[in-house]
Amino acid sequence: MPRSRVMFLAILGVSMMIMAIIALNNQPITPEEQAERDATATVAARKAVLASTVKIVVSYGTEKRRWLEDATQRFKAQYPNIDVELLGEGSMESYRALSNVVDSSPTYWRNRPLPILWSPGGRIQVALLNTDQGREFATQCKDLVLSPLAFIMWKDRADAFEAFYKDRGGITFDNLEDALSEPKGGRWGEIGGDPNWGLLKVGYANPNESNGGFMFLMGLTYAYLNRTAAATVAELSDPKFAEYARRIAKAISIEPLNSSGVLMDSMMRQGPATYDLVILHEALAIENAQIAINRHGIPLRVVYPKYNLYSEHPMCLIDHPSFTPQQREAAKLYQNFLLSREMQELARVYGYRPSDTDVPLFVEGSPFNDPNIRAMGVSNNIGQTIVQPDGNTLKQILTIWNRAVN
Amino acid sequence: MQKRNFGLRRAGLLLGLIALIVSACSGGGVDPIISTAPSRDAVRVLFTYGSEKDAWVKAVTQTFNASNSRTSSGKLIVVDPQPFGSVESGIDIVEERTQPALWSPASRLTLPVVNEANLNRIGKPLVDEGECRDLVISPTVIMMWRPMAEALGYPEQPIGWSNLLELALSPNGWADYGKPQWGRFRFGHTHPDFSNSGLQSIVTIAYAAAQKQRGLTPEDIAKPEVQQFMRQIEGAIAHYGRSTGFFGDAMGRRGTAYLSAAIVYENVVIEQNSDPQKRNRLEFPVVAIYPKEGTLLNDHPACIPDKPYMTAELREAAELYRKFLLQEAQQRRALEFGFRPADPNIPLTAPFTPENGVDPRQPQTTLAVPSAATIRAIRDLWGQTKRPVNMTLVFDVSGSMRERNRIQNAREGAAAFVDQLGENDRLTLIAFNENQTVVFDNLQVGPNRERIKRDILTLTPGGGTALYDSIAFAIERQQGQLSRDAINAIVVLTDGEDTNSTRFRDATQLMDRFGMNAESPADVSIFTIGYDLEETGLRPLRIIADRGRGAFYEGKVDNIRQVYLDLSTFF
Repeated sequence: MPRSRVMFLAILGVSMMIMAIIALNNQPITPEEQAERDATATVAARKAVLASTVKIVVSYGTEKRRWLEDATQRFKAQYPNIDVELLGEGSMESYRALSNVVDSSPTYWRNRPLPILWSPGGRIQVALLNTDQGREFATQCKDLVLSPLAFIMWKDRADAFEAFYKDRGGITFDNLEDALSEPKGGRWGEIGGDPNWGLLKVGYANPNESNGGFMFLMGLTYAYLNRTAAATVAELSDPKFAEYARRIAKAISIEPLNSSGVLMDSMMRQGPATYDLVILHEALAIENAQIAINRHGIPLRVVYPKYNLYSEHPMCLIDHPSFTPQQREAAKLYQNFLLSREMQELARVYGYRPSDTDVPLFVEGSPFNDPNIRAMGVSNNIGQTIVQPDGNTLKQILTIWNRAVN
Repeated sequence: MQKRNFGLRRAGLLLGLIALIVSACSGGGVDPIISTAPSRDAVRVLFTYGSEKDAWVKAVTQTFNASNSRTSSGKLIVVDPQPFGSVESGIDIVEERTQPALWSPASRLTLPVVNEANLNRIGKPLVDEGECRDLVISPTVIMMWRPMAEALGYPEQPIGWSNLLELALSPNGWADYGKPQWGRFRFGHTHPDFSNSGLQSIVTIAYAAAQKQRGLTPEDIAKPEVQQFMRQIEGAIAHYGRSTGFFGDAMGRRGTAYLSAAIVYENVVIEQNSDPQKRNRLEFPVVAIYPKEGTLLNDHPACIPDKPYMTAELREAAELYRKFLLQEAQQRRALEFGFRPADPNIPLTAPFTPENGVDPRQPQTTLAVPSAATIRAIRDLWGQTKRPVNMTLVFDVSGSMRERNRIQNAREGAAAFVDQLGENDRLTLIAFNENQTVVFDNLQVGPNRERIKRDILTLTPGGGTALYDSIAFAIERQQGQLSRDAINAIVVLTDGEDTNSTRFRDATQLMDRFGMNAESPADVSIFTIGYDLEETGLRPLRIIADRGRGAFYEGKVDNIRQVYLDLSTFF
């Protein structure tokens, strides 16, 4: 046989084999086969992750900094090849930055590297981001931990305020407004406190920048509505609501900080001289309970608003072409690690209610059951949980607030 | 043979490479010169900050530089810490005189002032206030001698500006509290145009005057009662100054006859009481009074300026260094220097003790940082109400001033000094050699500024030096025209040791006669400049300034202008 014919037949044979393999691969496969393939791919990706160093950036709402830092240290001990960089940012702030991200750029806001994992304070930021991006830009979200809104106040101040307003429900949005408005003008001497405490100083995070701020805004909105059913655009468009928001904002008059964690740190750092109370997640009070005593010699008190809501702290993968399969795999490993029982139990130490319902809260050995924490007022009775309105209404609340305060 | 040579060469190359890698990876052996002149493989982080935290910053930066921290690209980070006044260091960045990668004024009060200046200049703020990170905390306090504070009710009674105003206005002074030997109430704070504590002083006084704790507006500042309060409090000022630390040290060294109180940071009080050397020379312990009307907390924000020179690499290096400053070890070290760590996990243990005159449970309340417009209104009001100065310049025109361009530079420095004086300040010029010549007497500066400068610029040297007798001549003349409504000051410049005095043979004898006296109704503060002098010539000038409630400066031909400008911050 001529040599050229042998060559032709060989090439033909190889081509047919390749085509056969491609054809076989394109055959519909069963879910079992797909799962097997995924598992093989996962194992391969995990091996690749563990074989070479990979870096992932995690953007998170600053309030859960201490838990995440602690958990990340443990993660690094287990996966030394995965370098996790934590980026603490206000949740609304990071939502807006992520809204502007395009496929062609691997950086966002202030030239920082784009995070592959994003954990804002609430699901609301995820909904807002995916609406803005027009797709599941934040995907595979899982709630990490929960924490309800609370008035967090120095005990001596809380006791004095509560005693003064004992016939009107103690520490509530309405009574804060009354205390801060004329004729009392926020003067402690006129609301049952020590005149040397000066003015009643209330801190909240900026609703435009922080999930904690947004929760504060929801808390006062439902205090105005005096019910748990979802707010509607129509009722919030009533000028009476704008006037109510304006009165509260004017009365508080302390410039809000951009994130819950920064605000709580500031309260702990500067003490009752700067903030008598802040309106933030319960977790921040529990986490700082001992710090408050060590640093200022005064315990904290926790009081829940009548109408309350939780922050869910979802953690999502950001769907962006710049991430490598290794990074995606590392991100999933990290996300699952935070949801492991051990890390969920660790979250309790930092004042968070685990999202894993198998991890109990008020039982022997749980920090929530510590008599000192319970004495602060931490309990399962967090008030009546509100029904969150739709995205449009949420945006409307923010718009009305911004008009009222500016 | 050739092959063996090749093998040797390859082994040599390999060894060289290994040596290179080892040297690149090894931690030690960094040339100390690198801290001032980093190589191409290093990134230099210039860190400018308020001088009050200099000791802490220098101590921890030494640790940082020794740790050989690197950027992600592997470049060594070398931090160059440089202390400045908080306000002026910010303006220096705005006006592009310095290019720090990290800047930390003493308080956030400075941020709106500097951001406004940058906005006016290039249309955007200098720093993002939300991005700044607080390094340490220190409240602004009134440092007072413990027995004086106790006379006012300390520690049981809260004390505030209203008590001090009452004391300042009383013609009897401390005699109202059964202590006539302490004389009248005298206090000091730094110059608000140069120093954060000075700016804080006038803001807290304005708040107290308006009887507010937040929401202070320019309209409040325009009220007659606020202006009156500010004028009356400022009437008790001994003099101003550039450095908060100066007041702490000068008060500690000079005792009750110098000042009853000074506005300083809490750490200054701790330092005076806890540093063995400083404590031993105190006439009495000092205590921190946290004004009952509220005070400002200095939060020492560390900010990365938004300027074109800030490359991504420089920003990364600055952020790494800032992160280091906020780590627990560095935060704990802040305690040693009398600062409250920004990290709230660290309790306020020693030296925050009553023995050191401080109370970590204080202040009870703080004041809100006012808007840039309100701060501007307060500064304007202070400019109008500050005490004018009634000053005598005692200027050496002896023959030696001809040498090395001394006379020319000193004349120009003094003329520049005159430019810094206010419209209502009054000036006398005494030129001296072995005799004293009154060149002009008690002229109001405003309408006569050009004439005064002309007279100074035409002084001519010749003759001997009767330093002590000339100072005595100036004091005696000034005592004849003392004003209770002005800062009475004498500024002496000399380039030589005394060769011709007949009445006073040395500085001690002179100051035994004219030194501080708590009970005098009005004081003369004496500031001295040793000009191009050896140490033996400087010593008597230090004694005169120290016992004369003033300050001493050493000047050289090439910096005498700057010395005069520094001196102007006292008035």
